[in-house]
Amino acid sequence: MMRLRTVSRLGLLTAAVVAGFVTSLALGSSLIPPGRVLAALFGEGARMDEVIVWTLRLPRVLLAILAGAALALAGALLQRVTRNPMAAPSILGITDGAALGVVSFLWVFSDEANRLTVSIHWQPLAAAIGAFGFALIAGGLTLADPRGRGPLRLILYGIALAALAKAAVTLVMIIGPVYRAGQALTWLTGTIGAAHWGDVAVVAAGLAVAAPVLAWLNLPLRQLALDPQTAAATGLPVGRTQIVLLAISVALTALAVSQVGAVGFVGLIAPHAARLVIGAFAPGYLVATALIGSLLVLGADTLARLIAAPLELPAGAITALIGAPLFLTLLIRRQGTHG
Amino acid sequence: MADILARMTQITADYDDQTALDAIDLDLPEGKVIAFCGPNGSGKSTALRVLRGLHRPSAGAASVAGRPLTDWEPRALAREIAMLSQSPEAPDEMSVADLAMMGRFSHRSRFSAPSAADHATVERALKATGMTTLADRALGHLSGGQLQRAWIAMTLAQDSPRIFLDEPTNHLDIAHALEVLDLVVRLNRSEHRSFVLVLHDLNLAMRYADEVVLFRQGRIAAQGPTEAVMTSETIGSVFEIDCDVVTVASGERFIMSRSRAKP
Amino acid sequence: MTLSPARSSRTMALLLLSALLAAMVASLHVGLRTYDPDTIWRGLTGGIETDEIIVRSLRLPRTLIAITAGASLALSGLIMQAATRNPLAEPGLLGTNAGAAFAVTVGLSVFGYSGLLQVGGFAILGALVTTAVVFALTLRLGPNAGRATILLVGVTIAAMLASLTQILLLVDETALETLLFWLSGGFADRDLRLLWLGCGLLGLVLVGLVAIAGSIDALQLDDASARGIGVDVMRTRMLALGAAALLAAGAVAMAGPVMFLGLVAPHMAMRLTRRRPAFLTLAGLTMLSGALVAVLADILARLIVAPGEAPIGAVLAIVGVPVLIALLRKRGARAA
Repeated sequence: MMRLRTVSRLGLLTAAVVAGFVTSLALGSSLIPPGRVLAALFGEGARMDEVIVWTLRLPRVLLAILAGAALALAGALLQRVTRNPMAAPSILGITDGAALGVVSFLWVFSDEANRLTVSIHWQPLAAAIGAFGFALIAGGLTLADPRGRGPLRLILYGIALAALAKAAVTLVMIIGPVYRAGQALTWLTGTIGAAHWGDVAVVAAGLAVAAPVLAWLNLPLRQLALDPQTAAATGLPVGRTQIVLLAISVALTALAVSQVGAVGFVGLIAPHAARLVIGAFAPGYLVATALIGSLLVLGADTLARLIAAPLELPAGAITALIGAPLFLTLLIRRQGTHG
Repeated sequence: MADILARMTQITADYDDQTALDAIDLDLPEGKVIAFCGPNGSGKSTALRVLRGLHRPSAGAASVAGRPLTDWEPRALAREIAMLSQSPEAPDEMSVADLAMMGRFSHRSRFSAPSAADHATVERALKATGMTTLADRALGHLSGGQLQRAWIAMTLAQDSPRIFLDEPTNHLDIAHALEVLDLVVRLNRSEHRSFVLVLHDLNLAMRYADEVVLFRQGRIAAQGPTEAVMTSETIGSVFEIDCDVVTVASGERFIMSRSRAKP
Repeated sequence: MTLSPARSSRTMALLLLSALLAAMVASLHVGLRTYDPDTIWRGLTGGIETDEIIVRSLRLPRTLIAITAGASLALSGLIMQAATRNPLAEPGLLGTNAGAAFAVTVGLSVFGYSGLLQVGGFAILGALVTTAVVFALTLRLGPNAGRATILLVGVTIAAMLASLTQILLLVDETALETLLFWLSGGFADRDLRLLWLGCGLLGLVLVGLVAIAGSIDALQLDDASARGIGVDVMRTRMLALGAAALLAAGAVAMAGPVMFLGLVAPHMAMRLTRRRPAFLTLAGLTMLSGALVAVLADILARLIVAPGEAPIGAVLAIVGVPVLIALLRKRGARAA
């Protein structure tokens, strides 16, 4: 039984994403009014408009929407599994782990002429390996922590490992082929500029697999809000649920990062915004989180190409500027209530 | 319903590298209010967690409701036994009603919203704990006593015939403690639910429990009907104190401890 | 054989000093080309062959900058750790370095300042303001905030400032060209005049430190006890943090934002001594350790990706992260 309020707010969010979608398609080096955008979308526009919309702008806009949803969901899952409102892929070192995976992949599989010796489609897998590797280390360190497994510990280990991954990325970029290094550098800061339909398809496929699984796990996910002992006493197989959800979260992060780079803080901001908009225990919480994530990355990417046009800023820098103050606010409020 | 609620055979359990339970045998009868008592660190909470399948023993076998613990599927076991642990945690922003609904996990189907039966059970649990008027209040805005009752409401909403409560009177003043234990006895008598409680206050155990199990250093020092177990000799030796059990005019019995620093 | 604390500190200081001298020689010796001792000596004493000039004008400056920046960052870390009673405090992790770097970037790209004093001035301003903001925020966290929380505030502020710096650089291409190299952190090819700035700040702080060393030592107690024995806790803490910020500013102006040195060196110094010595002794050992680590890291940076150069920040992160993790895992460390 979804309350009317929840339904209407989800509707509003969806409308906002659609509006953002059309606006973002309209804006760029040449402005195409929304009416012509829609015409071009439905194959009835001018030939030039159709080329711009379909081949230049649409893949980028769709990629921003899908990657935003993936990163936001990854953050929401992570926050539930760790029972820590400050957990997010970029804070826990998962994002940088994925980045390391990608850079290493480009390094290992390039020949002298800087051509890849294997298909670029393996890149998401490399990102996933890096992300899982760092997630495992951070998790392992926290579990084996002699000072207890408090939620802050995981974040601290994540920060430490993120620094390590960043350093390794730098080194690999210097060792690796110069051409690839340049490419990796723009990608690392989180840009969505060079989007292709193939990238869009990869992220879309990942979300299509994750969505039904998350719907199936919706109740257990709620139950994880309780402490592990109590959750187990209500009949939840806690360990198994945590592992499955964590794996989905890391996979979604890896997928998004491999396509749009290290766009940080989305996984932190979106779940919190969703809490404010419809509540953390409302039925549509995950849907709202995904929509807000889409809106956020789409907005950041659109801003990134407009603020200093014709230069493009990294979308990741803009999300960090929104995310960092939010994180501090959460930290201060948390300390206020829990001493 | 089997006559034995739970049975432990040669159970050994470790906690933080310390032996918490040392090869104990224990049978708990169904349909009673049973209190686990003993000094700090004597193993009573660990015993409760082992019986609920929340702590894996390092040796021995345990069975509940006639089946070995290892055979139970988590949700099925949750429908048979509810448990409130010592310091449960939930987000401050969660409402009392949402928390109580959490107790329905083992009964709900995956995709549908809560059924009419779920809502009815939650309402009953809130009523029994006197939390109906606070149903929409966020947990962060409750007093200590209200919070404890909200958790008990969640445990009741689980609708299990057996309920384990680990120090349910923690954080509660005497009035609220009595209220909770009165509720326990009422549910035991009217709905025939079995209760196992870890209690620190020996006088509350004397007043409310049908049976008492006394733990001492990971072993069972005594077990049986309350009157038989709670004697000044047994309590004195388990807690290493000097005490008397006195009977007041109404027939109720109390434990009086004596200071060792007598002039 | 047991050494008295003073004797053991003196022995350790001598050991560190010899290690540092050896590392200096190695730093002059190792690189894209290795030079024999004769060439190095002639280079230092004014030879005019190409190799000798390289020794004097490239290898020697970078070694001296490594020593000064290393000692400054190490001391800055030690002071922060003492002032906040938090073993995780460090100018890199607490955002001071990022603040100095951001201010220098603003100075260059917004105001077009690139002179020596201007760079130094902006670095100092940025370091002081950021340190003040981070500690004001941690004060708002209340007295029970764990040492981890302070770290989180610092790291977050640093991330935000790094993003802003990045945006400024992307918008302003001239600034990018001038600053990208400096921002990546390192000791090579730096403006030698900045060395004097760094040395000056280090000397200034050392003189001031002598005056408040006793009070800083007393900060090992809790605030109430320290106040009880007559220490003006708040004033000492402010002065100490100001000094730490100045040191970090000098180091950043010289070498760019370098993380982890301020964490690694003080803990190395404390490991070397059996018991915690008086603050000034500890400061000396810490500076020696910092200089040693910086020179060694600089040598490593030349070697691991030869013929290229690895950024010193990456090398130090690879050394520093395991130290950070070990500190996080340490049970019963002096908690804040």
